[in-house]
This record gives sequence, structure tokens and C-alpha cells, in this order.
Amino acid sequence: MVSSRDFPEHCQKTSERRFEARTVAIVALVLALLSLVGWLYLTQTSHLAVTGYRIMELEQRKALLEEENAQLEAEIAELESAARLMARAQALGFQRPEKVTYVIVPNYPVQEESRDEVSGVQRTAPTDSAEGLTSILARWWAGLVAQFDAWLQVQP
Amino acid sequence: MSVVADEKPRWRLIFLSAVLIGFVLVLIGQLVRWQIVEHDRFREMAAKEHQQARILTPRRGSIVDRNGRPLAMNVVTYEVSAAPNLITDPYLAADRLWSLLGRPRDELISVLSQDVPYVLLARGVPMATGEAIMAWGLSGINLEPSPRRFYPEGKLAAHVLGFVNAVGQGFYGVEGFYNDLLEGEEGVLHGELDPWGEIIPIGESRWSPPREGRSLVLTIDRDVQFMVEQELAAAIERYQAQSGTVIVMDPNTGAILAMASYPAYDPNTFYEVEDERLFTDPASGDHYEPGSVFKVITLAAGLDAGLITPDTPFFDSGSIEVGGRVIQNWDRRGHGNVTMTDVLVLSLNTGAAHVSTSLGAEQFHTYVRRFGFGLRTDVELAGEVPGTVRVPGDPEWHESDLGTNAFGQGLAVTPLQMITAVSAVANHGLLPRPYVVAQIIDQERVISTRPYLQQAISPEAAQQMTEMMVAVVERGARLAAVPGYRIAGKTGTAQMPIPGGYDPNSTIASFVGFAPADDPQFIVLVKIVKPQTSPWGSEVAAPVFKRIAEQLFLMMNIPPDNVRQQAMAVDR
Repeated sequence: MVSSRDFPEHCQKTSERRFEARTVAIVALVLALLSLVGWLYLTQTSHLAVTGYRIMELEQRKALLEEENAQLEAEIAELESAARLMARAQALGFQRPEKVTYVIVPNYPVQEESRDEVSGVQRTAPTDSAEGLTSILARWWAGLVAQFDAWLQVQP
Repeated sequence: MSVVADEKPRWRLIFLSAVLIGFVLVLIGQLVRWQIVEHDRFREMAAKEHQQARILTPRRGSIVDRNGRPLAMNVVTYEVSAAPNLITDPYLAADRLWSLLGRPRDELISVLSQDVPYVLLARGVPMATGEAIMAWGLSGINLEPSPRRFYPEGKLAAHVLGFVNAVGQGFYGVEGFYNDLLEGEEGVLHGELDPWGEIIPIGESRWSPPREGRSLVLTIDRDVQFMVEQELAAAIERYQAQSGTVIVMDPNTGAILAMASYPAYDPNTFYEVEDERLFTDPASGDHYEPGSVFKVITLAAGLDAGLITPDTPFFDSGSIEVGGRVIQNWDRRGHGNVTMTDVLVLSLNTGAAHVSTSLGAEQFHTYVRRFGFGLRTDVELAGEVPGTVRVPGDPEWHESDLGTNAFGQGLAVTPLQMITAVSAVANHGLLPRPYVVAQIIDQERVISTRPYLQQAISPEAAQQMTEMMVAVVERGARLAAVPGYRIAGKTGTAQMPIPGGYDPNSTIASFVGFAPADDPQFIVLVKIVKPQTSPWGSEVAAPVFKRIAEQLFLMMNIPPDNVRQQAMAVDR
């Protein structure tokens, strides 16, 4: 059996140096890792903060644009008001029709729904109901396409 | 060797210790106060310093007509104020501001030259103007944005819409009725503040989003409303009347297409109105004695009860006594042997009183209630009134009421109740509930209002009544007739009650009619108050109905009866 005392002195010193080097390396590695994690954390946090401020800025910009949009919509609505249109029509020489002639077109397909829309009649059950906007649009689109199809089939 | 202690240093030590202990005790006491006793207060103070709860104001819902045309929307305006004591050159500031703010230059110079910290210069300044002022960067001039309700059509449908005050509260009309739905619910953003007072994006925060106000789609048609308002204003001028109301409704559903009253106000400048009574909607919030138009209800009740038919004979002596009161015809004449159709065409008070007394007080008033009188219609307008109908058992009821009520005296109804009741005649006896809101839009969800109907009289009685009303237009109120169309209608000339009786010089001229008689698409009520050129409904209100009906036939694409019947025959 060989005891440590049996090692030559220079061997023991070499071993200690290796141990120290390894320790230093481990500590350095840990420090490097910690620094990396810290750097990553700080970078991310800083990036997050900058992005957050940017989002806030964009939200403020969005709000401002929405306000400007609302303003423009209001201006359009005012320009399209009934009183203004009437005044403009009269200035351009438009008049109410004195006589209206109706023409009967045999087999002209008029959908009951569109007729009701014109007359403002809703022939539905006397209950309250709720439906999605998408389904209303889909129904409207399907009705429009069907109406075009029907028109195309009318013989002149 | 003995050591003699110096007494003075010991006392100094004791004194110093006592001072230090006292100081420490004060510190401990203060710490206890800060950390325990007033912990919550200081915590709150700290939170206030570093945290903020920002109220997120929801956007008020918009209001559009049945075709999506905007009637009420939101805009941002600016409140412009000044801190005159910070303004170095009031002349320069006044030169730039006076034309934009619409204030005289000299007045503005004197205002800006004062030594005061705050002066309000203008409210409701348009966004573009406000931004232009901001771009100049005038020191001492401040601009504060504030949302404002905007009504792009001005006075149009003012009584239906109502208005919104400076703090966002809706009053009258749908703005008042649906205020809770329109204004939405506030949200809140709790967060930590940075040194510039902005919320730190990555700080601790809680966010409760605002619920945006719901939008309303009305049954009102902007173009029909405009046309009706023009015709009403022209009629008021033509007949030199005091005021008036016109309602256009779909009798099949109760959807109100137009509801106009004159005089009206501009909801954009509601604060300029001096008489607040102008805000009340005369169509639903004010009542009147309807006069002979009410004979439609009396005779319809008689038909439904099987008491009369259109041809039932009646001898008109010119007067009839009910409850001790003698009732006479409007022309003070007796017309001899007539039918019930003649009673309506000639508008005989005696014939109507004969029917109501034959029905009896209980049955007559059951029908009156069934037609909705004395009850709110539940239209979605703030300030609706139920009218006044005295019934047997009421302390004020008198037996003679049975006779006078038959021709529309001694009771008070709203124009909306009147047109709704006659709608039942047009709609196979089904009484609709009038409504002005077709849809409520809640972000992606659309809630549609569906008509609610209840049977007031039988379809057969309604059909007979319709024919009797057609006879009124064909033989009596010819000024309401539109060539090519069968129209059912009835005139009314009501006296105006004053303390102790009726005003001999004032009347309310009215007409209610629907068309086409065989397939009614619209019903119109015209009410003109205190016309000066003629007191009669047949001469004042009937022509207004005609002008409106002529345009409605075109706008609603309703061809003349013969064209419609030919088209139906071709379709078959």
C-alpha cells in the first residue's frame, strides 16, 4: 500500500495546482454562467421594457388615429346629411318625379325577404333573439348571390 | 491605594445614557407608529406615490338609422384655457387665437392681459382647430381633450334621439332610455409609475378592460324622417299652426319609420334651449284629447262585440243624452236614417255615443284598454306617459264619460297610442307594440328586436272597420286620397280643454290613415295644434297625410293598386 507520504513532493504540488486550476475553472465557469444568465435577464428585461414602452406609444398612437378617424367619419356624416344633400340636389336642378310609370315584368323573381326589406316589414315570430354578426353577413351575401342568379335567368 | 470615583463623570454618563435611551425609545415609538399603528396609512401613501389606478373610459355606442346612416356619434373636442400670468405677449396670442375661437380680438387681448392663473377661453373646439393651436406651442395656452356627442343630422329626429350632456349622461329619447347600455362600463388599469408618471410596462399591474358602449340600430329611416319633418314644417307654416306631430309606422310590426314633432331643437346645442319643455317628445310624452279619430276604436269595439255591422241602421236625431249630458253632432244637425258606415263617414257623435252606451261602460272600457289606452306602449323612449282614461270606479268618472269618450273627448291619449291602436285595425286586429330600436349591437353580438303583437279585435271586425275607413276617405276626407290607391283613414277635430270647459277658438286637427288598404305597408298619424286657417282635420291634417303618403309610395316602392293586382295575377 502506498501512502501520500510516499509521493514525491513535486508530485503533490502538481496535484494541488491541478486542483486549484480546476477550482478556479469551475468558479470561473459558474461566474461566466451567472454573468450570462444575468446578461440574458438584463437584456430581456431591458428589451421587454423598451417593447412595453413602444407598445404604450403605439396604443397612444392608435387611440389618436381612432379619434382622427372618428372625426373624419363625423365630417363625412355631416357632409352626407339629408338637409345638405337636399340643398345640393336642388342647387343642381333635381326635382321630385311628377309621374311614375310602373312596368310589369312577367316572371321577375323577387325574393320575399328583399321585398320585406324594402317595405320594412319583418314577418318573424314575436320573440327576442340573438345571432352572430357573421351569420347575418353570410345570410345577406347568400341572398345577394341568389338574387343575381335569379336576375340572370330572367328572359328579356 | 484607593481610587476615589469622580461623581460628575458618572452623572454625565447616566445623563448621556438616559438621553440615548430616550432617543432610542422615541425612535422605537416612531417605528411602531410607522410600521404598526399607521401602517395602512403609510402603505397607502406609498402606493399613491408609486402606483396609480387609471380609469379607462369606454366609448359611448353610436346610433344609426335602419340603413346604417349615423345619427349620433362621438368626436373629440378641446377645451381651450389660458394662464394669463404666464403669457408674455398677449397681443401675439390674441392675434393667433381670435379667429379660431370666434372671439373678438380686443376682448381676447383684455382677457389675456389679466394677472390671473386661469381663464376658460372656449369649449367644444373642433379637433383640427385644437391641433393647430397645439402646434403653435403658445406658452400659457392649455388644451384639454374631451369627448363630445355629435349629431350629424342636426335637428333631425331630435325627440327620438334625445341628447348627451357634458358629463356623458343621456337624457330623453333613446339616449336617455338606453343610457346604461350606450355608455358602457368603465375599466381600470392599476400599475406602478415610472419617474415620468407613466405606468411601467413590466411592473406589477392589474388590468380590467372597459366594456364599450353598445350601439343601436333604429327602425327610423333617415330619408323618411327628413321628408316628414319637411312636410310638417311646411304644414305648420301653411296653416299658421302652433305645433304639430307626425308619426309613420309599419302597422304589421310596430316599427316606427319616422316620428317628427315641430318645434324641435338641435341636440348638438341642447344647452341653448331656454324652455325645457321643448325636450319632451310630444309623440310619446305629451297627451291630448284625440277627438273623432277615436270613433274608429268605438265602432271597432261595436263590430268585434257583434253589436253592429257596417250596415246597421241608426236614426240620428242630432242629439243624444248620456248621463244627463246632451251630446250633439259637430254640425249641430240630425242626419236621419244612416248606417254605421255613415256614422264614421259623417263623423256623427250621436252614433258613436249610441254604440258606446249599447256596449255598456264595462265592455267599452275593456276594449279601450285592449287597444292600449291608459297604458304605456313601452316604446324605448324616455319620458313616455300613459295618458288618462277614467273608468267606472274612479272617483272622477261620470256616466256621461261613456258618451263623450266614444268620440274622443274626456280622455287623453298620446299620438303614439292613437296610431298604435289604429294599427290593430290595419293588422288583422293584432295590436303591435311600437318600437324604435331594431337592433342592439354588442361588439360581435347582434340582438334583434322582434315585434310583439296581441289580439285586440277579430280579423273580421278589423276587415269591416278597414272598409268603413276606406269609405271615409272616398266619401268624406277626399283631401287625403291619393289617386290609384285605396286608403283607409279617419279625421279628427278636437277641442282643447281649458279650465271650466273647452277653448272655443282652438282645435287640434288630426288624421290617421293607412295604405294600401288591402295590404297596409304604412300608417301615418298627423296632428296639427291650433291651426289658424281652418280648424278642421279634414282640411288641415288630411292634405298633409296625402303629401306624405304620395312620397311614401315612391320611397317604399309601393305601386298603385291596379299595377300591384296585375303583377300578382301575372305571378299566379
